[in-house]
Amino acid sequence: MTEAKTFRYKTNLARKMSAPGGRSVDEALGAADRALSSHREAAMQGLAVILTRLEAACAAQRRPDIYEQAAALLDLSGFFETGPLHPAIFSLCEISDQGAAVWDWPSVDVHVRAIRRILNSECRDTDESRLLLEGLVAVRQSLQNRTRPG
Amino acid sequence: MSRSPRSSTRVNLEHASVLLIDDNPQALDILSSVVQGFGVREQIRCGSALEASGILKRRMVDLILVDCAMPQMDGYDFIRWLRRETSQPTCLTPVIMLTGHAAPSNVHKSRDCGASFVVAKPITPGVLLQRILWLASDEREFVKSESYVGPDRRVRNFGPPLGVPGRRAGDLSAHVGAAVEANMDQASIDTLIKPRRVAL
Repeated sequence: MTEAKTFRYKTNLARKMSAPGGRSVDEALGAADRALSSHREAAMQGLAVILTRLEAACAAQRRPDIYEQAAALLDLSGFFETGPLHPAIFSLCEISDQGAAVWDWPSVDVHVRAIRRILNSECRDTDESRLLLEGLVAVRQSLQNRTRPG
Repeated sequence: MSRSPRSSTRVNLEHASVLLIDDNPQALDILSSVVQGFGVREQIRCGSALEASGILKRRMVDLILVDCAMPQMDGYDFIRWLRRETSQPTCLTPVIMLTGHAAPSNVHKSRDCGASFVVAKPITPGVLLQRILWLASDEREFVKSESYVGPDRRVRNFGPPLGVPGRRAGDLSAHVGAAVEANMDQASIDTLIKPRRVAL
């Protein structure tokens, strides 16, 4: 077993942040939130473009593209409050990941359709979106059960 | 863990240079705007980890925000390169790794790559600012070993597990040797542990 070397250190970031000046957390968060809001519309359009690519990949059954596009959706949506959209995309990532034991196109298709419905309803948290998410959880559970012996 | 920092706290990032790395230009724009809102004046934006590594060979930065999933060199490999292949103080630079979907195969990489923090999306400005403030007051030691280089992954250090010899100079031995000083009398012990009323 090799010995680990450890040492204490102070980063330049710590030194610079401890200097007087700057702004209050409220001011910083306010400015960041305003900046973030200014990107929301473009980001939602960006999500729609990626989703169209995902739908095309699903229709053509291009398996490697599914996870790639789902991960791109998750990356972009992850900066905003998108209600039921984020868990729906996360669920698709889970079932289309390389490590997923079972691949099932109907399950992928159901996820893609659910994501489209949620995006079309402007990511509102509604009874329908809650039902959709419950359905996706059931689909994922059923895929997991298929991998269990017996 | 996800509490926002207190509003009375001040944050001074005016003189900090921040390196942002994301292969998605739109995500990079958004991240850049958020960081600018925090008061950062100098940002360096990179569309790939390879481009970022080229920059770090030429200059230092104070903070790095990197997306985990990128083609060619991903965020995990980038941080491993930074920690192992660059010299001080560049290798000590605080790094926040942003993850969208952490694939199971990447969970170990994420733990062991040497990131100062791994932040999973969805991410709000409050969470990101809190992590930056934590980094500014981070007192973890830096660890260099054959299998890991980076900030101590233990937030609390309780020493090595029972029966396992420590690997660090600061780890105490589990063996308690013979006393080398006279025993303390009971009055001295009571003084150490008994609360006393103090007149103010």
